[in-house]
Amino acid sequence: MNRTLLTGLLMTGMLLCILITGPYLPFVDETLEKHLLLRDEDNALLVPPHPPSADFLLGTDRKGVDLLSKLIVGTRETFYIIGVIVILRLVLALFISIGAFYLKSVRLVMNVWNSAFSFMPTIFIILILLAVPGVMFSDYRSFWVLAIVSLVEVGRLAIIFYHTLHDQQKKGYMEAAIANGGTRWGLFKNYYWQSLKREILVSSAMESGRVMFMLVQLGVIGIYVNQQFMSQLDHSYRAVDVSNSWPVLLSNLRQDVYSAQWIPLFALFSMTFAIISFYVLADGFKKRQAIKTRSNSW
Amino acid sequence: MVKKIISSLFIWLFSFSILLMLVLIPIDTVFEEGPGGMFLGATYDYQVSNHLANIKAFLVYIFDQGGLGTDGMGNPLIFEIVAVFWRSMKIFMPAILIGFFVGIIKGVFDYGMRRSKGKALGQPLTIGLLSVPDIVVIILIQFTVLFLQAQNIVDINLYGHDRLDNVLMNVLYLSIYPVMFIANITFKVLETEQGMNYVRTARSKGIPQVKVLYIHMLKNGTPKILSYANTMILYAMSNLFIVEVFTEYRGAAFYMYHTLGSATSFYVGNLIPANTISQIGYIFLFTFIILMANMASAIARSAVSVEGDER
Repeated sequence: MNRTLLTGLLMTGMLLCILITGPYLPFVDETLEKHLLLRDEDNALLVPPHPPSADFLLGTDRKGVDLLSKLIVGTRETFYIIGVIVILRLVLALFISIGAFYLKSVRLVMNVWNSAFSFMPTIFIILILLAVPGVMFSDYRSFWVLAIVSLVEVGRLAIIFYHTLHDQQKKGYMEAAIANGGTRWGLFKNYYWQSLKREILVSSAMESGRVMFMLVQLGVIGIYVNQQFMSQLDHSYRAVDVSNSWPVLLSNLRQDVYSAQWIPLFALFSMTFAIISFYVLADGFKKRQAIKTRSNSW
Repeated sequence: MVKKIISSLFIWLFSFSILLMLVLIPIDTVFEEGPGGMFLGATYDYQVSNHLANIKAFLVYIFDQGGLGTDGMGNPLIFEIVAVFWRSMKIFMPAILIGFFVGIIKGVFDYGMRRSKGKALGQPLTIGLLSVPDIVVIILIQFTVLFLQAQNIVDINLYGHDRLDNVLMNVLYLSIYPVMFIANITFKVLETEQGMNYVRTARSKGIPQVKVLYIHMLKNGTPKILSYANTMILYAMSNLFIVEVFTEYRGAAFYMYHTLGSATSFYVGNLIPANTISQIGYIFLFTFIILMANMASAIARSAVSVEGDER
């Protein structure tokens, strides 16, 4: 096993461990209790956010919830969001790319779709789509947000898969397989699917990193997966984030930069750590393949 | 090449019309009200006929006004849009140019460093900064500035749009990604170039390393680097959104974000509608910039293939 892959596996493994066992760790407050008012030694009142201290190792958020607990408990939700987006994107991209490989019409649609999207910055299109009332008030809004974030980049991934299939077709031994009377299904199962499988492994790690990256960007401009409308003083209703996922911690970013630096610092650290682990993992898989295919061809 | 340019023109028209259709989507929503105007729920009532009517009304409006029309004060909207867009370009264009020039320099530096002791400062740093979300770097820069401000060493205005500080800081934020992106591409291009026959010939003839690098490798690689312009510009534009909204730099992306129908707030029985006309103006200008980038890429790509590089 190469060193990059090992590092990637260790880093993502660590995140997985936190995801599974994190909430049960002794120093983690699973209930996420809000410490609204605290008193210091001189009995003076302290209001949240509380800075890092012996009680709160990473400080608290603006509601007085222990940040370390929140990050650890939120891991599950964050990874759930990433997982759904990535799986949706992978499945759709697979269907599109395989369709495009065998059918000219699908190939045309894929190319047009992709070129059309190359004129729209992803954030643009996500913002425009999310403001459609049908999405905004849907009972399944969370699902729609996941679907939209997933869909806007499905074309790019489909092209990658399509190229994998195309490259496989160009391999010299494919001719032998065809000459030996391989059926279309047989060729797909024994050759094309095998190369796709390797690409899926790399892409799933790569896409997880990209999705986390995108979630950070969306978090900065105030778009979250889970939200609820709450009544405001001026009779308007405003979306309030109701989840523990990491990007939500960026909701007060601008104030936090001045008054509670530890919140964005630790939130961004966790997200960056996740992104880098996924990228390193993807890189490791890529290297492993390079070694494997090299030894195969000899 | 001409064919490529025409096709990207068509695709631009196609994507612009898709965006137009999306912006002109009707917002008819039936609200369910509880006692005292409490919000109980809402159902979206999409009618194809309303959508078509919206599109028709827009086209009629455009033809009637012979342009985008005027704002509430009677000033032509187009002036305002162009002025705001220009403000965005003031940070966007320098960032892209810095991206190209500094990016290529960084790429060459990374290439030169690849086997030396300080190679961690080379390509690994480029890749690292490319994987980290921009906002992380932005926040770290802001922390540094705030720290230096607390020590009374510097005085930089971090939020707003009307001071030179704001423009310069935003150019800095925006250029991080393009620089690293182009540096990475340059590095890869130089790596492929080094195996080329003409590079080997030049070296064997005893031409100095630096000369080989610039004349034989970089010059041949430049069109290939340029051919990634559209990808870079697309990413940088997404970043423009983040940077403008985050730092309250009142450029086109900022206004586009704030005039978009609000997805996060509303009044019962009354949605906050989008300012569709200026929206469309901004979308037109933004996609036009991408079109220009695509054409530049297409020209660069054809230059690559003319030189007989099979890709």
